[in-house]
Amino acid sequence: MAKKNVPGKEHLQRLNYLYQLATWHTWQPTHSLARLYAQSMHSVSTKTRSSILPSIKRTVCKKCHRIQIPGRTCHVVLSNKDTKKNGSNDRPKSTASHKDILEIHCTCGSIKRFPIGTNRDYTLAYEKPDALEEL
Amino acid sequence: MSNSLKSLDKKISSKKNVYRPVLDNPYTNESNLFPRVNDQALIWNLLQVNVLNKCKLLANIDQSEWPFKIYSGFNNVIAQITELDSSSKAYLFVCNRDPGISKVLLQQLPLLCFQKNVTVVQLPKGSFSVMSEALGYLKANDYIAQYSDGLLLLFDTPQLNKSFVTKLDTNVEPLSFPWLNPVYKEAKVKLFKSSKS
Repeated sequence: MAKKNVPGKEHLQRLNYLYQLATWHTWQPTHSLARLYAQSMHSVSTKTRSSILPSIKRTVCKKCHRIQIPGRTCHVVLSNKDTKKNGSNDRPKSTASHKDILEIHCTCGSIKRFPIGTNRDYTLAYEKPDALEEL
Repeated sequence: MSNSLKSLDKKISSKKNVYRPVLDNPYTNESNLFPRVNDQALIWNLLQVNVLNKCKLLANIDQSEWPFKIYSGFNNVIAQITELDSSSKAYLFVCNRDPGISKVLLQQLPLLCFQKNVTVVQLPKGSFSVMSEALGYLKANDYIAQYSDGLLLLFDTPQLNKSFVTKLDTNVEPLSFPWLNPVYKEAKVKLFKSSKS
């Protein structure tokens, strides 16, 4: 049975507040404040050793701390090494699909790469059913 | 080393569960982003009758002459949604329940569709194989476009069955992102269960 008392609960709520602020400011025309809040969120989580779910971390750029919103601060592309190397598009599906890489290009120029082709059913331990318990 | 019941008990007791607090956010969780479809079976049947079955029959005709405008393949769909203007209307069908569809791939889609007013329709489990077979008749030039990724973008054109469009509009709830409003929403703190010896 899970413990009811959670240490550092306030830190986690502070992280949540900073994330929401950063996202709301990203929705506005200027992103400078948003980046500041996202950077603060990162600093707080490392200082207090508080965990954030990978699904949240995926939405923040590691280099410029921008919240990744497709069409605004990033664009998403599915690429494949084989088709790039040969310049041909007629490669059979069976040989090439396992090399598919999802690339999230941030406006700062950094790229997040997820090799989804190797195992499309792959889920992290955090994302597995019954891995997270309610308080 | 003995293999008695006592020693085995000791081994088991030394391995205990550890609970680590973690911040959860329902608005970045892929499974919570897709809107609810009220009559999913009906919508899936209508999609098969009005679009997927016709793809097979129209295989020999040039795609520009088809009575509907559809796109598949992740890159194609993203490009079309990004270039969409405010006057055009589109529906994105997603097989998000099927195995073989990466959750990371789908995570960015609802937010993109929310910006461009595209209706996202999630399809029932088992729809991916039927959709892939039907979309195999699309003549895509790009390799990435050939692989459907469980995505189908359908544009609302005058030739499309009007009752199908009405059913889509009435049965699919609109996308909502409450965290984009300037109102603070408290997120749940959850416990991640792991074991430590």
